[in-house]
Amino acid sequence: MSNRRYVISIVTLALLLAVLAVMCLLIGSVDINAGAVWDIICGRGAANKAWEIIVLQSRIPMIFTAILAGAALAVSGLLLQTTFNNPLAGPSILGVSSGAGLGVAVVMLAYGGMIGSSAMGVNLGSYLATLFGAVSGAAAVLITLMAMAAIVKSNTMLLIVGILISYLTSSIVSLLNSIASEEGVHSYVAWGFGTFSGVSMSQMPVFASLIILALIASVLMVKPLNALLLGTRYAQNLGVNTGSARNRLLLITGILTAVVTAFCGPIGFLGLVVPHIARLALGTSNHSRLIPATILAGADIALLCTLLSVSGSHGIIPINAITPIIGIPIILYIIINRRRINYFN
Amino acid sequence: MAILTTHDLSVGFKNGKAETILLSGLNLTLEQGTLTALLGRNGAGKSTLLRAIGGSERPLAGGVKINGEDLHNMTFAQAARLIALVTTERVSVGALTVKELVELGRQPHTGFLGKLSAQDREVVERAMESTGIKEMAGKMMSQLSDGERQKVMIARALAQETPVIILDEPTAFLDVANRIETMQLLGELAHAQGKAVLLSSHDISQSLRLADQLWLVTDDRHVICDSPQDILDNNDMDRIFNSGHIRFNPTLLDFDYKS
Repeated sequence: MSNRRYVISIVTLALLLAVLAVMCLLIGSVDINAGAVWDIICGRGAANKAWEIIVLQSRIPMIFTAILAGAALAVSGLLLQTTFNNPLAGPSILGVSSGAGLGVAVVMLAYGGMIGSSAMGVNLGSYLATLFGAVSGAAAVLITLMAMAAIVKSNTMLLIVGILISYLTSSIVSLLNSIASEEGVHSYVAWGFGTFSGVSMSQMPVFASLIILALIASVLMVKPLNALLLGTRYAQNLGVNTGSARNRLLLITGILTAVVTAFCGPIGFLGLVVPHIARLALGTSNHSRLIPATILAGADIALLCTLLSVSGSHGIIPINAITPIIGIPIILYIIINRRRINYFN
Repeated sequence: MAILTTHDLSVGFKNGKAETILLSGLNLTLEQGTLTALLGRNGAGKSTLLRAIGGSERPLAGGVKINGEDLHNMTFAQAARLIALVTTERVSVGALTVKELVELGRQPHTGFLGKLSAQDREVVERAMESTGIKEMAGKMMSQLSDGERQKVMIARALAQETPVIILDEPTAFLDVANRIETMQLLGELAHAQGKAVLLSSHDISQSLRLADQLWLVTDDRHVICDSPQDILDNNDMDRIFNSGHIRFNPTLLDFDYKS
């Protein structure tokens, strides 16, 4: 592919990121004028103390969370699509997100029936436990998927296995809810809607460093990822130990999905759709270019969802009510045009 | 000089504890600078043998040595510098250009991030030149015909710069012209670059004409290893492919109906 198309795509995605971030800063359920926002960011304060709190403790962490979560889910989807050689793979459709969700539910129940964002961040121990639960849940699903992939071989069957896993985890969560406190059930339901406002500034260092480390790790996997485009045998012939490479890729995917799910809820469609947006924009399957574009596009889409979620007249719209509206048309477009899109052939 | 040797090699497949042996007791050699064609009936075990020799599958017994070292004790990375494969499946590689695909062949020689050096780029250029695909370097793989794709996969194997190249039915999906061209190309590469090239084929007459050596899978699970001339002199073709309805015609180098 041409360098020009790559540079144009990356610059466009980066500019879009800046524009959307600024819009998220300025637009919200409370009207704050741009001058005041600027003053608050520059540390000059504002006449209205509530505005300061809204900008510094709500809007700014939400923007960072959306950027990191969007990038994480998108890269997670890309890695899953290449690992399973399946263009319709993604963390939510394969049940990885719901596995992480189940882990969260179990841990929060053990902490006294409090499930979800209200319980997170009460103290360091409880949210690290939540994270641990999410990572374990995601890992359990990924191990199951690996085993099933070796048995079923068919891409469609694997997707169905993923959907079955989602049903199973949601039924287990329902059973858990039946013995949880009412407050716990309520906050679990709220968590399930998906939100980018669940990470406070004090939790941000852990959230950000985990995601950034996993993103760096995914960039270091470019070589085996590209070899895997040719299938297992060719990848092995190119010197890739495909078994260990797949394990490493799934570990990265698990961390990315689990961290986002623990803090933001099980967010659907982003991981499935964004890699396709990146491929369509760049016209390449080469991961050395696809990963940066996927990171930026994921952050863009997540910011767009955030912007839409705060634009309603009656409070905040759940993220999971928005992602299908953006995601499904793109997936249908891809399925319908399968024969004409060159990365499928 | 022999670069690859097999030692009492047995290949087949395992189903739980049950072993099905397809070929056994094979002591074969591949010579540098020669094109070797593997011929045999369907289901005789050609692909299984190529997978064992190529290192993708473990043999049931015996071993394969390259430059005196046991292939199946090597890491993938070590084997990748010795053997390049072209498999029979048609791979959907996604949106890669011809050049990007050939560059993948350099992976065993590049560092952790796969960055190509000037020398790597030169090897890629030469591989594309000798397979005659240089003009389509910027084309997407999805735009190519089956014959062109096959040449790209061969170029990728060349870019790997290995002493041995193994191809499983490289001409299976090609028309006559492309079949002959591909065989000729592989022969030239073997002779000019001193590589040992092993391919399986159903194209008996072309193999007899163009290969330097033949490996012939017999009905009693052995492989005869001989020059085309000796195979013809011994009348081996008739023995192996005779189904009762056809007969080998040495002047045509092909089979005839029995009248």
